[in-house]
Amino acid sequence: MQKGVSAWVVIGVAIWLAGPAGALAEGYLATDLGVRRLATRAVVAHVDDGTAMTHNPACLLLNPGTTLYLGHTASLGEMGLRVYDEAGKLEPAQEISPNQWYQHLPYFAAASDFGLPWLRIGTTLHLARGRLLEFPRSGPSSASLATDISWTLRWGTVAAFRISPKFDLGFGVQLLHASRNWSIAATPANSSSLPDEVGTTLKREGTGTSYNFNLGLHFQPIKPLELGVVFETGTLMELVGDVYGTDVTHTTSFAIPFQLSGGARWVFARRFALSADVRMWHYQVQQEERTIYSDGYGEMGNPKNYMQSFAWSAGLSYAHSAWLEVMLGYEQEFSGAPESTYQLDDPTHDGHTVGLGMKVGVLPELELGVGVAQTWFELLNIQESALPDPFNAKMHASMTEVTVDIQWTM
Amino acid sequence: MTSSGPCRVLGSILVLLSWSAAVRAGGFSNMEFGTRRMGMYAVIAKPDDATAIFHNPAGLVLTKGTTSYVSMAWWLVTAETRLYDSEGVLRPDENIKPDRAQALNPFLGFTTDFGTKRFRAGIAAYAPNVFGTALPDDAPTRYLALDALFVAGRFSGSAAYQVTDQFSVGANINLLTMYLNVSSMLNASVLNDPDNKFKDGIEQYDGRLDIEGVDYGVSWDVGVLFEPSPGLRLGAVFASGVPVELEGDVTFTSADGDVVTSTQKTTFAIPFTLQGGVNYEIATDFELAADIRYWHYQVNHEQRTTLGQPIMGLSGLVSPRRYGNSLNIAVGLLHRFAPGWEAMVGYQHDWSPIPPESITVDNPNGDRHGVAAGIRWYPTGGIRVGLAVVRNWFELINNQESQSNPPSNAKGVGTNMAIGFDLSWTM
Repeated sequence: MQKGVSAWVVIGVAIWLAGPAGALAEGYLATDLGVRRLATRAVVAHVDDGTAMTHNPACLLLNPGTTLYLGHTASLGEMGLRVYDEAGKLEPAQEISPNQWYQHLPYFAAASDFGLPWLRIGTTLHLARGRLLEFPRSGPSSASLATDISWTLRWGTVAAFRISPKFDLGFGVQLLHASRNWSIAATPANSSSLPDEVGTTLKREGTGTSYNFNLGLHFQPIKPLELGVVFETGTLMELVGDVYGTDVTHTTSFAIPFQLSGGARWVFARRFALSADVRMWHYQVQQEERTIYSDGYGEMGNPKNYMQSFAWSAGLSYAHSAWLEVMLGYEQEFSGAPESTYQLDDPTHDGHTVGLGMKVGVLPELELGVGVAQTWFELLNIQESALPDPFNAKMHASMTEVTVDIQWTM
Repeated sequence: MTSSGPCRVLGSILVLLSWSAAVRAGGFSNMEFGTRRMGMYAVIAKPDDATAIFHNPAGLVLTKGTTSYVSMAWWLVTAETRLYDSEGVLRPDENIKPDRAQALNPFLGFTTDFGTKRFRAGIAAYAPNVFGTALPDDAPTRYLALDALFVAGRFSGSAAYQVTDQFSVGANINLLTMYLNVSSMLNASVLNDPDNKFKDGIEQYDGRLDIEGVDYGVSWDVGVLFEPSPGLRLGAVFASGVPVELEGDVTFTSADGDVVTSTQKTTFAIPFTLQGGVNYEIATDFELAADIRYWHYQVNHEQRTTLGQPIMGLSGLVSPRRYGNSLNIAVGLLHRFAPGWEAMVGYQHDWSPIPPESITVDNPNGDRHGVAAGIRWYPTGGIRVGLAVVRNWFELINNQESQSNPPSNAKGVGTNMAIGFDLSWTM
């Protein structure tokens, strides 16, 4: 196959697979960005494209020259659930499934060494969250969630320095702009303090802006071994907006936790590299999502009671030639969300993910990639919900993700 | 006050005195001495400055000539908490935060080889535990603690001998001094019904309890250092425990100004510590290191307090502690990235000995994990300076089975951050 033909086949297959897509298995800010991450699952010690600005800013030094990167991750979620009634019987007879559950995460990055071997400056603009989740507007699941359109735009700037031939350091600052439009069935527990105009559905929208930082280190003690460490700060996000159908406004605040990651990559044989990551999200800061209403309409606490979230992953890559690399990986994630406060607006749980992908050097200066990942969440069987409107349910879910990316080195 | 009032007053005294027994998540001592420890956590197998006196006295053999050394770590502590009422509802609506909470770890040391090849000696004055905090005087936590200051200082004399090229041994003798000064509000209505602490207007009946204590002691440490092959170092340390008797005054000032005074003597134990470490030069200019530390905190199963003059007919009380053992693991990486420059990073996880039912709001020490980074520079042959930063996060505290009175049932999060520097001058 000629290189040009192979590239178009890859793009075509990727676009076809990408179709509908989306969802989120990790923390609030998505990490499934770029083909290397999606396929090997382990990128903290080695990521050689524009997503380095997100995964490990120090790894930006792995990209010489001036580079442009464009990627897109699309995911499609599948879920089936039945809700326990007061007698402990599962209802309805047929499983409830979301009408729509998908996510799109476009990613753009540009970086340059400005002709200096020890410096990289880069900027990135991407969606760190871009999800549509819609359940039937009536029925037993609507008290947990009816619709949720949520997106977070992240604009980041990164500077990376080569401190020594074996040690790189990168630092980034990101501006976050979040928007959310979500609705649930109005109940006495969530709407009694609001005007009657709320009706049968409590629908809110809100936007907020915040910022955070990330710091990455990249060590290469010996040529076959790379080590990476990343710390990304958390932030408090306040969404301010309207309660539909009323003159009431609201401020809903929640915490985005800090993230700590460590990774290693070892070229254990010619053309073969083994990589592994460990990630921790400090989700215990998210004990409550609090909404304060204007005009004396009080406030509402939405209990979360999160604990820490943790994930480990391992991946293998094989560089068949200078222009083709294939990758695969596995990841296990332990969610910070307890069953007792599980709600459909954050439909994540402990899960297992496998990934597969490849990168093709179409031209010496042009690299294309495509990757696919499949996540299976552990079965959820909630019978002791502690929510004001208890959500006791039995459910299963999975998610398919596809990423395509292209990097051009000038 | 009901007939059980005296017991409840003493319960409050014991809550305050728990400061002295467990102001740390890990061991009794704060370990953040020196840039190597603060920058990469793992130091036992290669403590290459005067802080070897604290971390592993055998490591003194890694120093040369006569050295003066000074270091300081400055801690800022953040905490946010809400208290459970008897219905299990968290109150008040907003988190309670300390007005201030800080700690210091100063270290001043001198080492010398007396011109010999294999013998080293050193002395050091340092404070493994200097911690002060002030909680809001209008928050319900005022019945648990208002102000607290704890100071633990040590003066150590140390000697080390390089028995062979691959084996060194060292030992310390330590003089310890401890000082505690804590205060809280006391209110009979709150003692009878802890939910009253959330009510407005009750503060006019608040009395103030002040407690002071001081003690001195002696402990010893012994450490070994092995270098089985070039680039690989192993270290081990045993640090003895010591019984503590804090003695001092107790003063209660009632809401109408009446003052009742007494003295108190509180006994508890600082446990022995076992420590081990490895340092391996995985490549040129790279060191990978790991430490493990174990504190035998199960000896602290109770805290016994006696009063010099009985208060309300009671002369003493025994409070259960039920501590488990404590463990700390740490890994770190050091890289000499340029001539005279070293960079370090590290991670630690610390398992607290304090069971959930014994955690109090004023002493919210639970399990924690942390990250560290540091840098050292040798501007001239005899001088070395270092700078490091440490950040620790405590695991979520969600105590709903408190044994104290008023109960410390609370939910909260806490962090601390330290910035440290050191300066070493070899003459």
